[in-house]
Amino acid sequence: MKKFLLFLLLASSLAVSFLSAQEEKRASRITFTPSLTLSYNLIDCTLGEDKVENRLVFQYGTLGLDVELLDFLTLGVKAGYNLSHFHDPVDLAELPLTLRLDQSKFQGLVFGLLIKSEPLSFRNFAVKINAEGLYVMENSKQWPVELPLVSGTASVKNRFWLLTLDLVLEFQGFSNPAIFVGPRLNLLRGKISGSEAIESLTGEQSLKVAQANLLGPVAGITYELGDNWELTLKASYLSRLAATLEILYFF
Amino acid sequence: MKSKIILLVMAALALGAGPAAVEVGFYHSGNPCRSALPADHVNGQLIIKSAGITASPAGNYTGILAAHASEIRDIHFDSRSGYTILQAQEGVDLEVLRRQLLKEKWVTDVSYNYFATMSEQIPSDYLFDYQYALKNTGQVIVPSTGYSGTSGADIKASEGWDWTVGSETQTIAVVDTGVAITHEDLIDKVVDGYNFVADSTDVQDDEGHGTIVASIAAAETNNGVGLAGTCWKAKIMPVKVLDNEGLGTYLAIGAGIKYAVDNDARVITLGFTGTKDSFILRDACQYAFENNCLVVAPSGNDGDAAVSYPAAYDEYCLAVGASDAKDQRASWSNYGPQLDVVAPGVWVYGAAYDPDTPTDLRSYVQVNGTSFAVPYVSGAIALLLSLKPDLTALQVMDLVKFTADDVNQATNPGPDVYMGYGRINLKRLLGPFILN
Repeated sequence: MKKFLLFLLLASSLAVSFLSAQEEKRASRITFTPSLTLSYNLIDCTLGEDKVENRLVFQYGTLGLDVELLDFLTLGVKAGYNLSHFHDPVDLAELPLTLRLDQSKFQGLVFGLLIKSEPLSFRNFAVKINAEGLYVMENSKQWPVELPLVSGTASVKNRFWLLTLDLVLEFQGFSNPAIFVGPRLNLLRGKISGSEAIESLTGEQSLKVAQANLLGPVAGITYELGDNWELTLKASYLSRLAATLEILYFF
Repeated sequence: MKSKIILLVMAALALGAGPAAVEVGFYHSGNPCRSALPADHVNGQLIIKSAGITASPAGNYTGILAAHASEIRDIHFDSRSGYTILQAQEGVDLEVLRRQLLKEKWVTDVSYNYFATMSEQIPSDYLFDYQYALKNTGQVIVPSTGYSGTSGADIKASEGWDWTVGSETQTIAVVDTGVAITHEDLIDKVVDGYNFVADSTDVQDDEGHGTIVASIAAAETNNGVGLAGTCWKAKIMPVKVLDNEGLGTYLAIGAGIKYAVDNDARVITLGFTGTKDSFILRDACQYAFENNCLVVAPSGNDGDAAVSYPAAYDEYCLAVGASDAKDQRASWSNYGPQLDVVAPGVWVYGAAYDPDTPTDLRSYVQVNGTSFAVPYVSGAIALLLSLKPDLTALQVMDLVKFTADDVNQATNPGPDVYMGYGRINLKRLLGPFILN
């Protein structure tokens, strides 16, 4: 049922976008818009084959550049820095000596691609589709392992990607701001890899990270600050508790 | 070769009676069963956090008392904790009251007064309080002499059991004098074995040593009976290779070890020592090691600077010496470069079986010897393999050594010939290493 709903959401988004492009045949022009994004996310997820429940705390800041190719289609890239950790302890229990990540914070680069589309608008309403893919580069961290008479090292790598697809209805009846609401599809996939080397004792283990729930609502406001600045604040909950602030500058 | 066992029936010496005297002495002395808590919080009690209240009574309470007079039995400020304690009347819905309190201006937060429990597993076996090897609180260990140990000088079993109490999929082979398979603390634990002395399937103990070893490793635990085993759930495979005088041939022992390996035991407890090197023992230990079965063997009880065989086969065996209730090496525990670790082997409890009184299946004894230190290590390995069945014998050996406590570091820091890597530590062996 869940997969069907996801498929329906995705298919309808694409269909609406395609049909709209075909019918309206708007004139094309290219504009560039730099952006700054700050985001804080709490993502319920499961770890490993046993699907142990946990919560990924993921925050990032990126600088981006949006390229408006057509009136209804914008492509963007973004890059920045992220901090992440798991709320509950994560045990790598298949290693000879079990390692426990206890809210250990990882940090590193994050890259993203996004597609924004406004395939439909009528009166004061607009249908908007925002798709974003974020890839968190492999964040690696190393610790000394000090046992009473021997010592060694442990290292853990954490990497994941996050897909977000928002299908929102925006109300533009107020001159400023515009408000929007709609469903959000979240998809988190990742991997935690740990290894240890304590004299002759060595081992490696990986844990898959997957989002526990995929669908949830998103809502927000877009506020125009003068002729050049636009600020978007959006929040989602249920499957991903998130707050995101985007600031765009229009030339 | 006579089996080198120092087996002292403490109660028999003290009271002039048989092992049953131990039962009489301890049956009624403090069952450590913990009664279940009634709920997860103190009944009817709410704890109120507030910014401005530093004493009782306070005017702030007037409003809440007026509004909820019929629901509140008592409310006062607790200067020790810095919080206000509210005791509700019987039958009051605490959650409703808690929410109402949260609306009060002077209230910052309201919590139930939750219970916390010790983060360790305490079994209900009535002799557990005397098993200092598993949990040493400095308790009296030998009542007749008042001998007591040092708090904390134990293998951290109760903390290790937080991670696992074992699995029935693990089998500890007790290669010894057999096992009293109908003893009250072993009756449900024994699987099929073999008697290489009589070449039969009758593995009944006819000396007593194997029964003690088996119970230390994996007695039925948390059943309110007798003592606690190191690994609660593991099964015991009796492999009888020693006769009723504790004597066995290398040929029988070698065959017994191979039998245990071929019948899926992952850990073998040996309860004997030999003074001579022979390929018969070496080959058997090598066979076990190469098939991911770890042989755990005693260092010997002569106090000599020479680890006995087969413990001296450093590559294939985990050699275990004996420590006491103060984390000191037992003076009679053999030592040498092959010694890997130590475990308690002085005045430790085991299930007793006397072939002269075969119907007495409820006795327990206190004993001394490195072969009684060995089953603590074997039980620890069975616990480890319950958590991590894919570990190799070499990894198990390394883990047991690396996680041990260097209890003689003041006099001999680092791995040394007297206590090897130190006294085993189940908390560190089974629990996680924290990466912050």
